[in-house]
Amino acid sequence: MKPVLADFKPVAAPSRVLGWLAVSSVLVACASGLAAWRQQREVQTLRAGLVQSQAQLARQVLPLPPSPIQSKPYERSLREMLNERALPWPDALASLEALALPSVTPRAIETSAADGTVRVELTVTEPAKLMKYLDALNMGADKNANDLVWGLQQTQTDGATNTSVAILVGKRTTRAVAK
Amino acid sequence: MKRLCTKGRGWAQPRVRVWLSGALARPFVLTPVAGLKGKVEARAMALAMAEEATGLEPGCDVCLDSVPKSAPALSVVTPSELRLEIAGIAKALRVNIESLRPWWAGALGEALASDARLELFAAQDTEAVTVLVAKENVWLSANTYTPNPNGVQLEALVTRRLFADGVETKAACRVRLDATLGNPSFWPKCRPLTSFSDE
Repeated sequence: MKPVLADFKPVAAPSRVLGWLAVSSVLVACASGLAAWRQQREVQTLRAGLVQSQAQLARQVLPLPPSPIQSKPYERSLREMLNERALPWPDALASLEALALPSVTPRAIETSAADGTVRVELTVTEPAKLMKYLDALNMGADKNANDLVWGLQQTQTDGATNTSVAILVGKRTTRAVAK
Repeated sequence: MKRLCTKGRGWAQPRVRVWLSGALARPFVLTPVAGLKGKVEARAMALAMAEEATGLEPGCDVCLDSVPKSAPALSVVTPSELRLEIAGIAKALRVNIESLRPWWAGALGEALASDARLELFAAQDTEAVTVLVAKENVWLSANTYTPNPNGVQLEALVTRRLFADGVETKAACRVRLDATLGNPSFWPKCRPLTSFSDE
């Protein structure tokens, strides 16, 4: 025969205080774990950002400091204005007004500050008079260094009407364009 | 229990051991059942058989000493309400129940400590008689008889069991459990007898 170990001892339920303590401990542990996890994630994010920033900084080429010339955005327009001012358009107008040939009619005048020239478009009903007109314009050009010297740039003749369209270019013999 | 609680109350709650009479903790033998898978199934089966085997009212708790797969198991049954009631009293008196065991089981432990070759054990308490028979650690029978039969009837009962199970007389132990007896070394207090019919 063997001993009988039957025991109906009731299982002691945890007291209310112990229960609350256990629940609050679990809650505190959960909260602590959550806070730690959040902080760790934040630290990881910051570290990743730091590493990324360092890498970006290492890759980044610092731009050169702007040159003094580039720091003056008005210089280009100033030069254009000075070039415009230096253009011989008053002389050109005076030459064109002073010269009148019945078959040659100025149609358009265009100045170019970039190269300091004056272009004149003419309509010539008698092509033979175009060269006379050009010679008359250039007459006396060598007297003064600032006088305009005219040249024929382009001519196009319409055979049906025997009318030519010519473009003359006037240029100073010595450039007086401001630099 | 109340008297015990008034003694020596300190910081810790007093611890008490509660002994149940044979009428409140009744044993029966659960024969082996093929296909039992574990303790849960064995316990469910013992619960299903408990009322029929012990005569207790429905609503019992059961304790098994093993799973009856190849050998019979001893099942002890007690009313659930009694267990709850004792727990409630203990809570009200602010004592810890160290154990809640059958009185006869305590006496059996003591008897086995004196003679490990016991094959029949009969314990009479104030309400019932519990008779256990086992050979070579195999349970043969376990019964509770309540109300208490008189001495002659009880001795006749024990003798029948001795013959029926082939137990020698010297392998039988008869005890009478009495809380009023003053033998502190043998707790639960019991008195070995040579025969129930002698007194």
